[in-house]
Amino acid sequence: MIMGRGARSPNPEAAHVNTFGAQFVEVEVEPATGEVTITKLVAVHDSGRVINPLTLSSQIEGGVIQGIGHALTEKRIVDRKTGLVLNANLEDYRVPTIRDAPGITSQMVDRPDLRANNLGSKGVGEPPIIPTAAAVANAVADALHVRFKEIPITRASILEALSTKKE
Amino acid sequence: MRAFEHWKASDLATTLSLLKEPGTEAYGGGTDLLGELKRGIRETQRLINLKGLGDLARISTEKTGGLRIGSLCTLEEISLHSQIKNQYPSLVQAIATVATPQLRNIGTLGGNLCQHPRCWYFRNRLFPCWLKEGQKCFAIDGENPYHSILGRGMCQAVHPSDLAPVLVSLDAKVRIAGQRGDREIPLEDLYRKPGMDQRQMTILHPGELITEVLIPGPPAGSRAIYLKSTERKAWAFALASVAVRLAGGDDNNEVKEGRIVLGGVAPVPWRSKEAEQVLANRKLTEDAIIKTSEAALAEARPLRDNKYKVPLAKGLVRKALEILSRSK
Repeated sequence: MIMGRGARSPNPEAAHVNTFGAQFVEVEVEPATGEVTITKLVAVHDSGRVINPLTLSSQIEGGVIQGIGHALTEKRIVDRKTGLVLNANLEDYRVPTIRDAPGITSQMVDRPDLRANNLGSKGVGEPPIIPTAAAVANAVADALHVRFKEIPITRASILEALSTKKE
Repeated sequence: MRAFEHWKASDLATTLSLLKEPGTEAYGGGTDLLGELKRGIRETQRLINLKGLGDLARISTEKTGGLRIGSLCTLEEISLHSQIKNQYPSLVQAIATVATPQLRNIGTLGGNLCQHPRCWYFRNRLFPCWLKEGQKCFAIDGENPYHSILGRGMCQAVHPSDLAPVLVSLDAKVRIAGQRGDREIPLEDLYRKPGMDQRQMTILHPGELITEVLIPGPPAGSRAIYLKSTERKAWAFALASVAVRLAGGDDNNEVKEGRIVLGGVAPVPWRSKEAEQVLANRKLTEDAIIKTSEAALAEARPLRDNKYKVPLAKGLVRKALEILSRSK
């Protein structure tokens, strides 16, 4: 019998360990109703050595869908008079459904980063969340020639922006 | 949640006499009422499960070509019925937008028509709002992005049903059973907005129950559609919706008569007779479509946060008519 043991060493104290990535979004916007549909999303992340490609791509997809909620649907509503949160439930606080999720193409770079730790792998849970809203907002701006400076970008924000643009 | 008695309905007469007693409520699927009890915004001493009333779970064809749909039919059963699929496609379209498959499997027609608003002040027991016998509506000067823009009264909540606008557009009637006998009224007349003198959303009296919905056979050259706009792509109530049913003239593109009913914008399913007048005996040209959509929203008086609903509802009316103008 041959036995082996290994462990991932801690991240170094002297250096920052960063995951790098880039994301691309294509949207369709219906001007009559302000509906945004994400038609395509590509996420490429360099998280060092890839240990399990399936769990890695699942992490990316999960993060991206969280980011779509961030971009388009999730908003905490506080009653300004009482300070009570009015949508503290999953009916009124809207996380994306599977119908809101586009086809997601994820690519992994798989380049061991041995400065990070002895495995050369780095985290990828949060990185796909971060650029999603910005990419969606850029795509909507490209479609409508209007910049949105607040998220979520809702029917209300799109229809208001379009009516101001017309005037 | 307070304790309550739970009864299983066995026959209609007994159910109606029980329903007359104060503190008694009836439910079919329970998808709305049970949630209200859990949220502590409604109390009941006695709850009657209607599911035992098998006669109210049937769909039958009328000799005149119309249909009678029992109020206990689930939304899923209705959307799978072959004659309904052929004759009333807009009804099937509306059902496909309701909540989730799980909810459509237990939610009933009667419950959908009688459901209460989703307003977050109404649904929160900490706000004693007008609909809950309180002093005022909290939405009128509160957070109101999802509230009414048309026909606003004492309560700013919108009627949440997807089926009601479609059924009003199809000229449906409801049969109401009561102790003193049955009556049939246009579905449109079932609804009323809460006002100074009353806090009900329907004209049903205690001890009355909707037993059937009657849809007349579609008129000649009929075309219908339901469009709904939501904040996300599934499992959401309408920000605005529109049900249109046109009855044709001789020419392809001529409308003899049209019905336009908006959802999600008013305390009742909002039939726009102004828009219908613009559309009557007209060709469905681009100009007619725009004028109709403008007329439908001419009376809109939005609140602070829901101004977007005006262009949204106009856009839906326009889109619905454009699709119908290409569909013959």
